[in-house]
Amino acid sequence: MSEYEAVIGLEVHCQLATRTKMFTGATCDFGREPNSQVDVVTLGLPGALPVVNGQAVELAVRAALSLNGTVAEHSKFDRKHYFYPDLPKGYQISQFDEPYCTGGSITIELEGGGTKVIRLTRIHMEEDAGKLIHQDGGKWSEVDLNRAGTPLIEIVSDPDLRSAQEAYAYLVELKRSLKWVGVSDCEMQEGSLRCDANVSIRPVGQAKFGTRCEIKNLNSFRAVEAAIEHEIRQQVALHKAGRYHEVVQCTKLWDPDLKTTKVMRTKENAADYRYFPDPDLPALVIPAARVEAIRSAMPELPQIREARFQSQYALERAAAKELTAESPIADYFEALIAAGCPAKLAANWTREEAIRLANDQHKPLTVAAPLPIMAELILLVANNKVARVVAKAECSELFASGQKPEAYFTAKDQIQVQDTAALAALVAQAIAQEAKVVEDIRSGKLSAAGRLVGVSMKLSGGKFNPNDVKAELAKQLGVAL
Amino acid sequence: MTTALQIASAVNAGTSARVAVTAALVKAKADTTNAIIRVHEARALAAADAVDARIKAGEQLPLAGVPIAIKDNLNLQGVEVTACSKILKGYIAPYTATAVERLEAAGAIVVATTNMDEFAMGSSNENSAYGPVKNPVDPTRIPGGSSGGSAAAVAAGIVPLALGSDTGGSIRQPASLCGVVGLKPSYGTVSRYGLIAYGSSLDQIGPLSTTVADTAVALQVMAGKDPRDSTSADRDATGIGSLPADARAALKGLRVGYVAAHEEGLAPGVRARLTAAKEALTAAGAVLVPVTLPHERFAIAVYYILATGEASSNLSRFDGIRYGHRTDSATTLSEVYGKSRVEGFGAEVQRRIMLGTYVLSTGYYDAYYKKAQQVRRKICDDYANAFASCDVLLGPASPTTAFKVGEKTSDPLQMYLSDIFTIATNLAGVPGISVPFGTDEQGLPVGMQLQAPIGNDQRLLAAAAGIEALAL
Repeated sequence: MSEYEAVIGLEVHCQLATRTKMFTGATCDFGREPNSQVDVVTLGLPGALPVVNGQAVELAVRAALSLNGTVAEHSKFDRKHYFYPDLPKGYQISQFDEPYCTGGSITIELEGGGTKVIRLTRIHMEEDAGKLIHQDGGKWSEVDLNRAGTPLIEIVSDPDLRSAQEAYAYLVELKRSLKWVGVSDCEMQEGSLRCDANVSIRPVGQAKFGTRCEIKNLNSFRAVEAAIEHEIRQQVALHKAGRYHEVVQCTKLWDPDLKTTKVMRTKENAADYRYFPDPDLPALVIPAARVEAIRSAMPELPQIREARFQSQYALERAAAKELTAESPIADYFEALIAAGCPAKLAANWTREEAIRLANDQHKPLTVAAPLPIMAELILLVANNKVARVVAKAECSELFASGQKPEAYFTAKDQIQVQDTAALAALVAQAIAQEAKVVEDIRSGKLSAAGRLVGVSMKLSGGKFNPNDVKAELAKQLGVAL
Repeated sequence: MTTALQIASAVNAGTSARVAVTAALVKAKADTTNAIIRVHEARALAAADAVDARIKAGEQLPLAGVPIAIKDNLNLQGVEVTACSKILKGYIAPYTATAVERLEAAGAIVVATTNMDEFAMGSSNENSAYGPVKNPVDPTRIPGGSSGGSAAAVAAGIVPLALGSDTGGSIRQPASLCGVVGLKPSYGTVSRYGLIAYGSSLDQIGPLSTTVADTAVALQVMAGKDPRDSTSADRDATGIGSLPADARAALKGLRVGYVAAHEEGLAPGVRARLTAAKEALTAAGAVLVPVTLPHERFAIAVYYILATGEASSNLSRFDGIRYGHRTDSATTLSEVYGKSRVEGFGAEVQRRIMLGTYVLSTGYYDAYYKKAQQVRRKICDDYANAFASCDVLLGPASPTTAFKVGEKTSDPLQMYLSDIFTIATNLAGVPGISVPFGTDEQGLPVGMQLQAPIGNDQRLLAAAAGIEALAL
């Protein structure tokens, strides 16, 4: 591979999270009875006309701004023609040569460290097609038009990606941005995010692009990665064998079970879509003032928030990234800080406990781990009222109980005490019990002290602060721990 | 014949709507011109009773109890609508077009559906799956098209008011040939929602009637923004149908533009009436202003690129999958499309779909469609320049009077030339109206066309009422 370089561009279709369709008032809920989300416009009945959904435009602009794109004041809708039973009008309304957004970029992290900016060519709006459900081994098909007319944006990247891993990272980052600003739920399983990959290879140092193949039917980020790797391997193998001419411009389908691709159509039989401006729709005008209004109503973007978390709260990069994976996580974390929790503890408890609880219960963070309870718990730990280990061990049960933390730990007699005489007695008891360990420590094996701290804590029922225990141990043993 | 306004006045005064509606139903069923293809008796009688109830409850409706007929490309809920094409045979509309809905809300009652050229493609009403329409003035002649059925229904006295659609003259040319008033409003004045599209950027729904006053009231009722049609204009439609008390007197000082070149190639009878109209206007105090429309000579070429391009796209939905005709003999998906469409569409429609598909194809788009769009803008500019020096434009609506059935069917280009004076109107989006102005030497009706700047439908109607007064 090292003497070859892959050149990859991605086309991502993203369903906008609108209540109704792109050009009509029919709702577009997922998973409903076939053909229950349709109306005269969706069905393409004679005389029906499209009207642009303002919410779709708003979400499309949000997407553009979250990806640093430039929103055009004037753009237009075009008709793209082909015959297929899931396309009621015989054409799809899309944007051909004047998309509503040009440019933009997504910054990805590279595996070996560092970052790379992937440029976007354009983003345009369009309507989705319906679905065919093939029956009886393909003898006949049923048409479901629920999805027909659902608003989509298509995000087209420049051919800036150089590996399957970069493509994967690009998708993760893209999804983070789009979900963050509420544009889409980005569920590949439900089809609200779809990705086609254009892949070619060239010998390192060659400026000219190779012949590209477009791969479709990629239904997960891992499938995108696997399909690209497969395609690169195949093209490189052909090049090495002197058979590169066998790589022809074509569209392939990825088979996720066989982990291979098969050719769907070649360039020679590519369709002529006969694009022309849709005469039913006037030019789409998005005034600069509207764009600014949308921008000012947008939340702080994840990349910016991530950087701020690092600088403002002195968090590690990985922690900042995890806390900005989704906006509810970031909001949760900062709500803990607003409640007086120290940043480090808030970050740790959010990452280690709150996210785990939410994932286990398939519930939002604030439901699985209510903020007031988490904040109180963290403050108990911060103020040495409950030992961290105790708090951790009791965490799931505490949240399940719904009790206030202080009451919970009081009832369990796990509130730490500041009684120095009792501490001294306890530590003395531990030293007496663990003569062997004491001998180890005295002979210089200081790491064995952890065992003594543990025994002391156990004897105390978690009621003393481990740091206090450690200090008392050092004092009684006459060593520096 | 009784006018729409007379009927409405009687019904508003307490006469049952059933009187006029029943009379219209009887005449519709007795129609010998093939103008009427469907009669909606039960629906119309129920609607008449509903109008009576509203009047009893104290309402006054501008079109109370007025029987109307609508062209077969307008959706009417629960009623078969086919655009006179085999491909839509048996298709029942699940909703009503905005224009029809507004007329019904104003008290009008749809008694019948009228014949037309298939998908509004034609100038003689000979391209209909329901057979040709005869001109009531002379049954050996065509009524014009594509709204030939609507023009004939009004001319034959079946209904006082009918709806047509006009993409390149489809209201004005048949109105002229049948001797009735026919209006194509400014693009965007009347919602296209529910009109089966032919050329979306050109199509407008408009009324045909025996008087300008009836047309004016119908326009007043239909005009105005419709949120379901993005191309319907935001213009204020208040008073759009109000006419001067003395239409003849209002001509005084009106600057009437005319294009001298329009006189060339006119049938002598039409030319004589045009001259008479100019003389009468001058006598009434109007000022005749010569103007030019330098790019008008490209109008037919531009039209047959743009309209067919749009039509090839608009008619893609008739694919045999969800509704309409589906072939019995297909074995592949591709055959379902090909055979259903070949069996369902008539020859002229297929010709225009092929032409339109060609002009939109990659490699030809720039040379044809894009170029035609550029020339269209030049034509718009021509109109703007002309209207800088005149208030309305006067000219013939058709180069000839009604021609014989079958006379031009073998020569599409000759047929296309019948719309030579009406097509530029649609390209520019301006309003145009044909008003009866006497007859030729054979007694066949001649219509004068007036045009006004876009959005000035009221000015156009006022001038048309003046011409109407002069013709008496």
